[in-house]
Amino acid sequence: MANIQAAKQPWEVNMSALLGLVGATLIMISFLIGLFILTPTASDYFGNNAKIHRDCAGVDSSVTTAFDGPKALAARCATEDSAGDGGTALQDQLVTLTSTNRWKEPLAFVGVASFMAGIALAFSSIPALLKNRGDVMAAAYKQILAQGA
Amino acid sequence: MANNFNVTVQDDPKPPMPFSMIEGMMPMYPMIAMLGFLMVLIAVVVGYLQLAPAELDFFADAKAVREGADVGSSFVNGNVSRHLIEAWVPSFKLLGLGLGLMAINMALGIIAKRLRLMGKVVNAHMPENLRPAIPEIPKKVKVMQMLAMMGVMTLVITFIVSLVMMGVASSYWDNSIANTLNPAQAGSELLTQLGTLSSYNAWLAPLRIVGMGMLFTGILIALSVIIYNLRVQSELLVDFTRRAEKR
Repeated sequence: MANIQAAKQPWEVNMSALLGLVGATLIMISFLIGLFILTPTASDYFGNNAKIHRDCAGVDSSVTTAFDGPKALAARCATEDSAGDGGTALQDQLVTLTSTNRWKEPLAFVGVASFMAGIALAFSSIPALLKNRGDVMAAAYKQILAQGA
Repeated sequence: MANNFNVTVQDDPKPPMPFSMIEGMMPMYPMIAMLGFLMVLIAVVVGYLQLAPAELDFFADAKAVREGADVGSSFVNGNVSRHLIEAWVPSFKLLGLGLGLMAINMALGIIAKRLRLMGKVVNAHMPENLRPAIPEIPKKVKVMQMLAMMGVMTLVITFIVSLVMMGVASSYWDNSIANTLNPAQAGSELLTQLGTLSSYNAWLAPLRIVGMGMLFTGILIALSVIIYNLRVQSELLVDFTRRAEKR
């Protein structure tokens, strides 16, 4: 019995709790950005602007280009986009919508990975605890028999 | 409680609703795991048998042709089909994964309960005067059960929202792109629908991950309960052995 000790709290348990907290935080940040930034931006960009207006945002007819496509678009914008140049505001919205998702989604998955790392760490502490439980049980078993309960 | 160990151990008090219901469902985890697996498999089959052909139908010709096609044409029908499938399949797939995670939660919960029963059986074999008191069930067990249920409920809600969005997608995309959708002006019903369709996924997709996060948290808590059980049982056994040796 002299050397038998109960297992201490494994460091993996505290670490897994920390990783779980980090995971939950990253996932919540991703959700809040989606809810409060991307949703109203997308709703405004697509819901309040006709396609011609979105396509013509920032198009400057005075800029010369060698390509037919941009020339045709500039000409179309000059005649058809009665709402006028949406300019930087619409383009800013488009930039926000396209660029934010490029890091927001991976961020949420970092959160998921953090949870998984935490779960793996918690699992990794169990074999040592089971071994300790077996050793302690073996010592206790002798005493249970000796005491003749 | 009678068991196979020839001793009588005291049952834990029955928890209040909804925890009693959750505990009653816990042994069903193999069935729930299979259901989750089947749902993910169905998502694959739908992708192969419905989404892929719809994409083939729509992208079968040049941009000018498919965008100029009228309602009722194979292009418009293909476009409607692919948007409908893309509306519900991701939520359905994540719900399947969520059920798998809930099954893991339940299995870990069963392991924790069995460990507690083992501890009680060993305790019952100890002499009465050396027998330690049975520790209380940790309060975080209820938190784990609530998180697992909330996680799955969140995923069910996202699936229901997806089904509602199918109606909006069908109404919007069942139009000629060049003749009806592109000329839609600000303030029109079509542009409002486009605004809804383009924005809902910005919060729905992360909400699905929030649901998964709740289930992951449940798993972490279940593991911490198992670790707690093992540690406390070791402590009680060491304490018992020391006191027994001194007698």
